Amino acid sequence: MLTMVRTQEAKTPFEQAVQEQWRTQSSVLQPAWVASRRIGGWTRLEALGLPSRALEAWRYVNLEPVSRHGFVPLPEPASLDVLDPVISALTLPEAAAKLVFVNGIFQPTLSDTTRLPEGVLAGSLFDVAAQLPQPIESYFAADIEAEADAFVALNTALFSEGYAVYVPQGVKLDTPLEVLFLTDAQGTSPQGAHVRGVVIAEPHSQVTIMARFASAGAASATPTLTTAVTELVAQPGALLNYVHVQTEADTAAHMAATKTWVHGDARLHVSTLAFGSRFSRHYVHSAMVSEEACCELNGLAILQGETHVFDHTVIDHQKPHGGSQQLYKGILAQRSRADFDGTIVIAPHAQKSDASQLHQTLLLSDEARVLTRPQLRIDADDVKCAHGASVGQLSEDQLFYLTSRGLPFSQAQAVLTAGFADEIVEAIPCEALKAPLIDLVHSRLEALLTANA
Amino acid sequence: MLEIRDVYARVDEKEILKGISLTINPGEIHAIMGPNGSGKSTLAKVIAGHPAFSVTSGDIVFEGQSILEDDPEDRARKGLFLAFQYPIEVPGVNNANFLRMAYNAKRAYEGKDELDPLEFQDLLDEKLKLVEMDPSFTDRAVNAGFSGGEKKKNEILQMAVLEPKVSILDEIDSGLDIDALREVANGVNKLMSPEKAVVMVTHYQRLLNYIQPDYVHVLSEGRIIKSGGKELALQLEERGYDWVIAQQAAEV
Repeated sequence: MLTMVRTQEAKTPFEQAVQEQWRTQSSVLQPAWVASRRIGGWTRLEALGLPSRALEAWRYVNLEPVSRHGFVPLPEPASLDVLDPVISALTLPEAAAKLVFVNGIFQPTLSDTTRLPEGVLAGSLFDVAAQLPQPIESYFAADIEAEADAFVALNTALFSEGYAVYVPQGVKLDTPLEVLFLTDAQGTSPQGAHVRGVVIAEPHSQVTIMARFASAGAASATPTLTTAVTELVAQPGALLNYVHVQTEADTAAHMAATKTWVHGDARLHVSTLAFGSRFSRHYVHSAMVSEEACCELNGLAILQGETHVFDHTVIDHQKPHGGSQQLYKGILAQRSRADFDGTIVIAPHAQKSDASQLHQTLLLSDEARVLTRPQLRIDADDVKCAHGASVGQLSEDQLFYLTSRGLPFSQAQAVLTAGFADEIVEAIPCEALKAPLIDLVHSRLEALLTANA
Repeated sequence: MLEIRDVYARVDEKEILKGISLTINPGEIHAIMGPNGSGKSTLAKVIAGHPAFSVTSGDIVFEGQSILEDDPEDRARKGLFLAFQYPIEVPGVNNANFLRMAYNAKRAYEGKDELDPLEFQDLLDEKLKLVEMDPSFTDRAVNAGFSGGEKKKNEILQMAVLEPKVSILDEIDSGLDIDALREVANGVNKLMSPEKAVVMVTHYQRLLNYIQPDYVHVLSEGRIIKSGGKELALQLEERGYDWVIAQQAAEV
């Protein structure tokens, strides 16, 4: 009998549906290397239970947009032809490869990996693992037995499919690989998908992955759920740049986790752009496993309506001379809300670690709320650590300055919010992504300022 | 062209301007001098429409129409310009883009087509030469990390691009060394023409050696207590403000 979470209390519709899905799929677990990880995931989920407010990081988080719905797996997409224009609008023509998933299922006919350089593999997780069992199988959910995050455990047990990217030693890709996860809900009952990603950047390779999560019908009132777990491995000297773009519908819940392993001299960038969803969480866990590992985690949330974003980061400096930087920004209108919970851990022997963390929020309405919780756990005595947070409104002085030069007030607001937001996009180390992402950010800001006016 | 008619203005509950009247005609350069706290900067901001100040009585008329109800952007597009005493830093906003947006806002108001970035660059290059400014300034964020002198020059560059009819220069000389002062003053002189007017707010006679005023007004406690020609500035330099204030008190 499953003992998941609070046996004495009534299970939430979410928990009931999760158990039902596990029951129906556990008889058909395959292939074997995945089955053992799935079982590991389920075991961890049972042990951990879903996060409750008793957990420090979740104390102020209202999980109701997730827990009150019994999400069933999204159906097969009705017609892929219908989705063609939606997909073209969401993908970049110049991408090195395009991997498209609809309702959690890989769509080979909508994907394109023909332009990849020799040796680089990208495709559905199962296909790539079949071609290259090592190293994919040894990295995929390898530490599931010790997993601390319940949603990572849940996703590992229930994921439908995912992507894998393998970049061999020394190969440098200038253009980004693009992954699109599209949710195309049918009917009105709650439905969702659990998807994965694995990226392995071998020594001295260089790669940019942009994963985009979007809804096909933004006006749909159907509650949807996406859980996504992405594992990023940056081997010595590699540059791994991951951009997570979330533009799902206001009725969506988005529970993403990105787990990273950064080796010596490697540089990892994770940028989170969150513009939609009723509730959206991105948990980024960075294990800095060798000396001189560097990571930069940045985030930008542009929120309106009742949307709520939760950025949750843990950076684990395990070895000396590592560096980490975090810059998370939020622009909040109407009744939206942003939480940031960021922990920096520095192990006793991880001397000369240099970690900084900053959370900045621009509040555009009296009803918007922000909660910021920086946490440092330092067990070494020769380190540099800085953290800070600021919350403010648009500066009256700057607004007057711009309007006194003839800019309409609305344009002055737009210019100032864009100036605040652009820094996050400018920091993404991939030239090809900057212009399209700046356009996306500016169009979101325009919509937000119009709605907020 | 610009007429200030018996203006009273306050910030919060404090009355700062107490009945100011001033008429500025095309081709004129006015200097407004006075001790600290006399209301000089307030007058400049009130003319530009700063939202922190409210005009409680009187009127400000520009080209025959009251502008009291106009927002700052409307006043700017009609041809008023305020060079700030402390130009505001706007990190994240590119200077060239900002100048183009301001220029295009004015073009749109005048019913003209906007200039695209390439067309605007030609215009900007010409203006940069006019005010003797290094083109690299336009690639940076607006005033962010600029020195005091660079900020003031950037104000003059904006003035050159927008070609306002009336420019109010609020202590454009403060914080400048003598070379920077000369450059800024040269810029203003080149931009002056018989159709335009300049109002300089300043503490010091020094600026007036470089930009020669037609009229000098002394402001004290929110009122103009004396007006005269440029020789008045020299008298002030020699004798201080107390002399004028005492003279005015004797008249009352």
